[in-house]
Amino acid sequence: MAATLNTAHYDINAHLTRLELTLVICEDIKLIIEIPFKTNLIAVNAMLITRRAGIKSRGFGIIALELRLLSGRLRGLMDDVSKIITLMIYDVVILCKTRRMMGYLQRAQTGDHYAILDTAIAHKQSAMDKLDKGVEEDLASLLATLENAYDLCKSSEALSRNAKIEAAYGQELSGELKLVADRIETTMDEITASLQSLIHNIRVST
Amino acid sequence: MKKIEYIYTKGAHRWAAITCDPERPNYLIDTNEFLIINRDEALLTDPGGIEIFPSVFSAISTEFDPKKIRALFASHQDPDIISSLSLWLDISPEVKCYISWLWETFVPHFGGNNTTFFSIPDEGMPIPLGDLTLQAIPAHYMHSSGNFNLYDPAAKILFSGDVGAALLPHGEEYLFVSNFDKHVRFMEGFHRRWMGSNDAKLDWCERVSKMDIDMLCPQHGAIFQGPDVSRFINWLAELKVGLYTKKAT
Repeated sequence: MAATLNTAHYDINAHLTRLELTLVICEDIKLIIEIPFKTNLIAVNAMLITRRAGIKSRGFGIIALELRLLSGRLRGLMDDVSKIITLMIYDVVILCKTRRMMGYLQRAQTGDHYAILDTAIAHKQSAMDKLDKGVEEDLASLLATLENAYDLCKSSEALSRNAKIEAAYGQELSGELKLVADRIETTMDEITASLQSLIHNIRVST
Repeated sequence: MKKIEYIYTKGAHRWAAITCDPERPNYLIDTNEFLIINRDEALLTDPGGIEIFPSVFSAISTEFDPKKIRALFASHQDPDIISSLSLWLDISPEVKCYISWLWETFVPHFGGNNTTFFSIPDEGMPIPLGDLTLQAIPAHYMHSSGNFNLYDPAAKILFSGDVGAALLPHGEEYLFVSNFDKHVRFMEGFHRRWMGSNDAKLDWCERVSKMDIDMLCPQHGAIFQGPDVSRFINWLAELKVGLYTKKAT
């Protein structure tokens, strides 16, 4: 059994590579975490202009409100993403730590006392199996949350189209409303593209 | 999991405190780690023990890319200070560890080799970090025989290692000392027993009282700031140390 355990597929380098990938994902996530803040800012801006324009921009006001709701839902999803990635890093680091400890035990197997060490190694291996499974689940959950955010943004593309239409009814403020509508479109495009690229990168790298 | 909080920010120069793990088991002493960030690189003070490594690492990664940690500063040789060394080296094999020359052949039992360590001479030394120059301040016998604090003159922060440590009750931890008199009860026993020399203590108090310090950050307990810094130094100067608890009056 000792020989089998000594050549176990748990390789410290494999875990370190996995940790590096997780850290890269974490850094990418930090870049998109500001998304809800961006959309909320635009929504607030749109609401202020709408209030100034009064009854002529009631339709635009509804869009601004929708955008605010979208921002709130995105904020919830991004909070989840932050929690999942932190948990994932934690689990992968424990994997690295356990693997290193297991390495010490394996290096100690030079005498006739395999049984004691084998039990300890088997415990560690079982803990690592559990953690491995946990990390896989974290990853699946991370992807699902990011895909939710992506779907949400995609389904809200109509918001920017409608904003442009409603801007046209803004009479003397229609120029200003159009500018806001353009910003909504640019921001939504940026957000959708960032999420799409992040999801793609995670899929490719893992 | 531990949490990370910025305690000083000026442009690209920041100090982050990694403190208080609510899930930490009772049998482990709580520790504070401080990440000194300057532009795109960082130094981590007393990175902690092997058991808390996952918690420290995960907390840091929420704010800063841990691969950019260039150096570790070990105030002394204890396991709660530096036993995680081998794990940090797994992450970044190039990371350097600053430690007293006294421990340079002892600490490699935790990990590292002859390229890992920068030996700090007894009188201390400057430690560069980006465009900052930190200073290793001698604190020998406070409590270890080869012991250093780390001073950041730009931020006016002194990382004091075990000096100023407090053993706060589990679940009642706080980041900054807000009531010094109440805080004393959590540090008195620690200093009486762990600090072995009244002469070394007075020497430290005299030197440190002349330094310009806004915050004094110990490795256990809470941070002293403003007037509490000199209040602590005066309190310590008066305290009789090197005594068994039973003999303490």
